[in-house]
Amino acid sequence: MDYLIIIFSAVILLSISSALLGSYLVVEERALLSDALSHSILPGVILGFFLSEDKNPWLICGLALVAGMLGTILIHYWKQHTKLKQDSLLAVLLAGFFAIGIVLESIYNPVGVRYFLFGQLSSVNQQDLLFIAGHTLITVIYITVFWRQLHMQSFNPQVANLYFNGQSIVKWGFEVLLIIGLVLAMQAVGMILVAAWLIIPALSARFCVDRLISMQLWSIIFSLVLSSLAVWLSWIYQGLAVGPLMILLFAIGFVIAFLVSPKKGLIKGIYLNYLDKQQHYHEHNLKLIYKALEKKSATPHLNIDLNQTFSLLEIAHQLPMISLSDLDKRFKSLFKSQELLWLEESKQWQLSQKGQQTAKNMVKKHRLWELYLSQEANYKADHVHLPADKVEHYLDDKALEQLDKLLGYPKLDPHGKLIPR
Amino acid sequence: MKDIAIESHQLTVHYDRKVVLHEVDVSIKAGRLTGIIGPNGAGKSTFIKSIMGVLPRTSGWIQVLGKPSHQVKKQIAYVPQRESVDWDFPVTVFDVVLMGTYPKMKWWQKVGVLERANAQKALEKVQLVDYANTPISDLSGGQQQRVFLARALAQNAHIYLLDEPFAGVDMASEQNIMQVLKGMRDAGKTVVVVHHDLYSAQHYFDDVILLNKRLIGAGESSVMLQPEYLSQAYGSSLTLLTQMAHEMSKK
Amino acid sequence: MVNFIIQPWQDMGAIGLLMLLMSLFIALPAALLGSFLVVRKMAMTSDLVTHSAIPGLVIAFLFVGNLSSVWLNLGAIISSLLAVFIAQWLATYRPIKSDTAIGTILTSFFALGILILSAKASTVDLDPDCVLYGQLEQLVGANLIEIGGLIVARELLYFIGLYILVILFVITNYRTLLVSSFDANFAKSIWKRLNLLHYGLLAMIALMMVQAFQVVGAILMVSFLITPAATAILWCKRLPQILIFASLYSALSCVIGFYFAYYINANTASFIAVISFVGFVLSWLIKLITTKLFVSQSQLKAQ
Repeated sequence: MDYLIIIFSAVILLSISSALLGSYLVVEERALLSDALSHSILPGVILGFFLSEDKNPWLICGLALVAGMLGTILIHYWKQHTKLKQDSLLAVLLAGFFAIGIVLESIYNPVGVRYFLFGQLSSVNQQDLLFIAGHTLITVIYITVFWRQLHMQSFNPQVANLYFNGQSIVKWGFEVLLIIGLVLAMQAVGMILVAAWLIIPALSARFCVDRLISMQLWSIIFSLVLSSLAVWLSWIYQGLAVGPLMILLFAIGFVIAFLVSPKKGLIKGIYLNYLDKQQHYHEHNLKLIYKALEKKSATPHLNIDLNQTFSLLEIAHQLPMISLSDLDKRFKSLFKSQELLWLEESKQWQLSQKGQQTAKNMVKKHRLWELYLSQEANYKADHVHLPADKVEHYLDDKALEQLDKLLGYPKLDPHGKLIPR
Repeated sequence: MKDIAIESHQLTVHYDRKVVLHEVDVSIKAGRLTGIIGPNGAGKSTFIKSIMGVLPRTSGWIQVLGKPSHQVKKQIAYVPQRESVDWDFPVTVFDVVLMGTYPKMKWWQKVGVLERANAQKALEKVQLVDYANTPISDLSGGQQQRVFLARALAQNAHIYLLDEPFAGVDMASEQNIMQVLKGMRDAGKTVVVVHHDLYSAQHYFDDVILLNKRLIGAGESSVMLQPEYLSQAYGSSLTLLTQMAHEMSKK
Repeated sequence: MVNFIIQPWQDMGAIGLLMLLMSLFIALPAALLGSFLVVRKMAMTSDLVTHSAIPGLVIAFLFVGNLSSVWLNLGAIISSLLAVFIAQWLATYRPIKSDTAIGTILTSFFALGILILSAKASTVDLDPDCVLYGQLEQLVGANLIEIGGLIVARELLYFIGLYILVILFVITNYRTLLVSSFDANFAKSIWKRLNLLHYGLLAMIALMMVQAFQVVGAILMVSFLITPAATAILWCKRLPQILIFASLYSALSCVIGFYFAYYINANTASFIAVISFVGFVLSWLIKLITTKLFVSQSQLKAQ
């Protein structure tokens, strides 16, 4: 059981450091860079394995660092000297260094390298765990201490150089922690998938919150929970490999966050859309009733009595373009929302206070906007109706007041109809 | 109808859920040099792209020479903004100009004498014959723009749409380009140019369309470039309009 | 000297030749397709396509049980194109950038493939190792058939056929490929159905992956696709030159890599990739030195 504790601890510690480091990568659009980096440190790892006989983590990480730094420097100079763009250079580096690694492996054939390629969680021993713990601790401290510098570096690198002294050292410190983090995490999930451990939980967190620090905290939570779940599941079902299982759980977590997130999630978006449509439907129907009553009225140039009762047929008569069954549906939905009242004794309909208020407001908004468009924006009179139909639902009280004031509290709309007050 | 080259009616275009063009009704006369003027973000590029069908319309329609634009694609030449292209791409000046002959070719046809002659003529008009075999990465901004213009000329179209052809271009190139455009107009072509500079607009264009997310006005340049219209185009009495557009885009 | 060149053939005979030919006929179409990926700035999409073909392959393989079925091709194409499509769709949502989308989909799809593979490893004849770097040596002897007196590997015929397909594709669509790579807006304004071309390009890479992943592996495939084209760009100024250079360069890398791998006894496919990479670095250095020399010479002249 000692062994199980080691594995869980390793996964938890790695989740923390990956989440912290990965958040920056996601925000800076460096996801593929980390993918290329993880492939390009292979030759370093292999040499390290070969030169140390007992899987010395210092040697392995050290040589991996050398390989990683070399790769980063090469990309930097290639970009400067050639016409090639970042994506091609990443691909060349990734494949080239990886191939060198594989050739080294087939020559020297050091034991234990397989574990880094595909991940073998069970190969993590106590010595490794200490190293991992050290790395996570240093990462947490580093990020806390250099929080402002790292934040600026992500957001606005050129300005960061001006704001802080020694910014390049802070930046390189981050790269060192990143590469070591990749090497350590590769033991668990393998070289190809390690980038996912850094990226996917952070991406899921990005969907839920808007600030970097909250994002980091949430990615730690996602990473911790899902990776532990993966370890547990693969312990129970012996056939499932931990690495790929973990990444798949991350992916499922991302899909859920994407759909369900309260701020940007797809489902919430669809639901809000639906609510909006319902509201617009009601507002539009109340406007129709108002207009029908206006048409019926003998004195349309004076304010309409919205307290009057009416029957379905009377309204239908004034609105010939709407079928009777359609109008019936609209009445019923207004009844459900209590904007329309049914008077049992007289068998007539009446607008409730709420309904009257909304109807008056909607017509006012519509007609003021029409006036605005024709007066300020030179729209022709027959072109103002449709845009007003759309915009009227989005004018809040403040904007309405602004509009009214701008137009000078007018009485009539461009078609000569009364603007209700 | 032969003298209306391009007509739009209630053209509305959304981009990224924001309204970029709002109910634009405009007619562009054939055989004239028309400038499209307006502040940044006014939707000028969007208007051109909608004519070409490169951007989808939300509502309204556009007709070119009396037909929907995709039916007359071969009659329209489009010169996009310079930043839309990677100037490190491995092509020479002649290669790019030759691309102008592609629209009229069938897929089995090989590039022949006729196409090469076309491209050569176009290069002569923009005075870049000496640069035919130069890689485009070696060109200055003005030269790059002239290459684009030559490509459009090689298309032998009736209507030419140019998007900010004078942005970041040296004076000599600008004058050469203007000369070519006026020559095209004299030859009966319709030339529509998205332009950002008010002062040169007076001298460059016959007609002017003032745009700021919706049509402010259209007509002869001497008439439209008066303070009353310009203040509407560039002024701020329409903050409510943009505000509402923003609100709607959030939903 | 002559002995040096002849020895591999004396040692390995027809098998050796087959190995070389197999790698050649993977490298040549890859160089062509990759050239277009590079000029379209879609190089990392090659990583996406090669990795995301795996789950489709594996699932198809589980159903049909043998590696030569047409269903594997279908599985690979569907899987890859689906991945590309999803990655593009995800990238349209604001907080997700295209980099992150590609990285997410690439790893997720690959993880799915590996998970299934490792779960069924006992019942299935597919070694996860070869996903990474291929087993050219083992495979060559596996599926030999006879054609007109010659013994050929069936896979070789597949690759030759694919190469012919790629050449035809490039020739018939050359103009459209060129223009849509250079100026997408202009291309959209004169042609329709450009999307078909875009996905067609990727589909062919997926088709290659079906057999190539056993020979070369998913990751090294990126080298075959991109590195010759990238090197070509360092030397050539026009697209036709790039296509030719990349093809010749990749063929040369195959031959040199083959010899090195034989004498050092290393994995062939990886050595080809190493030679390719070394050539890239050398080209960069040579260009760097010659331009510095050129600049200092012209500075001298100016004085």
